[in-house]
Amino acid sequence: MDKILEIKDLKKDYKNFSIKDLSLTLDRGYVMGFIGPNGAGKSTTIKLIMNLIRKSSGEIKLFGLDNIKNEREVKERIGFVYDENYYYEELTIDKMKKVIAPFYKNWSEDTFNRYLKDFDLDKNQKIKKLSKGMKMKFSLAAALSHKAELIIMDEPTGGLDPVFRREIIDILYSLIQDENKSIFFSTHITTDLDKIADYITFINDGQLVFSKEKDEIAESYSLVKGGLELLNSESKKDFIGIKRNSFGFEALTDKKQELIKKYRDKAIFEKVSLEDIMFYTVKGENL
Amino acid sequence: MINLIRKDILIALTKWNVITMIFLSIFYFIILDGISVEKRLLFLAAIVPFFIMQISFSFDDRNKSIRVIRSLPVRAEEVIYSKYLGMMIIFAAVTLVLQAILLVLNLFGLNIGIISWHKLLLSGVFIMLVTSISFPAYFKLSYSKSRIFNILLYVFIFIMLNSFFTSDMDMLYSVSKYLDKVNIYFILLVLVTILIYFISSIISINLYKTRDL
Repeated sequence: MDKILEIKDLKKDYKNFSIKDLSLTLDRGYVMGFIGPNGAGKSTTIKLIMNLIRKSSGEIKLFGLDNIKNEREVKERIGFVYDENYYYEELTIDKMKKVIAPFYKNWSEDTFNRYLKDFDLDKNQKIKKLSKGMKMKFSLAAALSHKAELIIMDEPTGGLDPVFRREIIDILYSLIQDENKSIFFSTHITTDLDKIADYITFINDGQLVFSKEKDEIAESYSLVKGGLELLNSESKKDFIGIKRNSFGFEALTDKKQELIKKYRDKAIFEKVSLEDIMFYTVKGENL
Repeated sequence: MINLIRKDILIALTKWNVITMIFLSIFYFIILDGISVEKRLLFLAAIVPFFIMQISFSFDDRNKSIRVIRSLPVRAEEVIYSKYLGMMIIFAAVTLVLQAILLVLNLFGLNIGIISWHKLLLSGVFIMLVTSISFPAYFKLSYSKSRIFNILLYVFIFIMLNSFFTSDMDMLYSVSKYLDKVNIYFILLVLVTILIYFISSIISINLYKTRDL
């Protein structure tokens, strides 16, 4: 398959935090949800992909090209949306467009104007006067107006109300009907990914937990509910995180099929959400 | 690179910034009352490009807008070279405007003359030398952190320029008289300055590349 994004053994060391040997791959035409709690290293990874910060070691390839050696070529094909507005606040939408557009060979004025219309954005409005949701829509319009093949989004829905969030997700949903486009979407609001993600990559404390197809996650992960008598030092190894309560325990496992056979009718197996996976993985056994 | 220079000019020349610059220019013009119109314009030619670049750096830094620029199809080297080249282009544009003003004043019979090319070149040399010190600090530390250093540098420049223009010795004119013709000293001065400017840009690139945005 045509690999759009390849990260191999990526490391970035800070004083109190580091990204450790991160590896992942995204193929053309797919959407990857990049999840993890706050401070897990999602934004750092995106900054490394965009060459905004220096990596300590490892390899990042976009469209098969090194992201630093071929910086211009790869960025020509990327649309970016960040978690905050980094555009020049004093400028109007139109002036900001005049700054951005000449950098892209494939900039389409018609596409940009169509998005402005669809998003109800006034091009004479100063960026600082826009609400957070409108700023996000402007970012999206800019990211989608130069025929980008990969859209990189860093928490685009964070801090937005449910209406705006739904709108953004719907826009992305319509976007992925084009099989040539891929989306790398970081978020800690995992429900945003239910509708659009094909793959989920989960990082915690700078380390990769998994990078899998969404369906594969549903097959292997499960919430297990049972009595406390089932818990012993041996059985605890089957669980990623365990929560005890007065009725028994609730735990996350990634060995669903194996445990269904093992516990049969002694435990209940429930469908797990990405939020459950994140919660139990981060909290571990100490609940 | 031309897009980056265009960007710097576009963000610096907003309505309020232009008004502020005009007022500041008039202010300088008034407080430098004791010296000739030509010298005062020369003084402005040296100050205004710094002012415009200062605004551009502050806008890149404020709101971390440089992250947007660095996410566009540009290399780090281009960001640096565009600032160095932009400084010279702005200086050229400002001197052209000032020369035009002088021409108009001459047409109205004020008989001031225009600024000679070698004096302009000396101003250019001066700007390049100050920029060579100032820019690496910006690229290493970001605008907000390097602000104190650069404010002190600009105060120093202001005092220096003021003393050049107002002293009895009239140092700039002594220098310009010495370098009046295209002689070996003049050529050497220009060449060494260009070399320093280039070395400064290389230092800036290396400092910038080690910085996390």
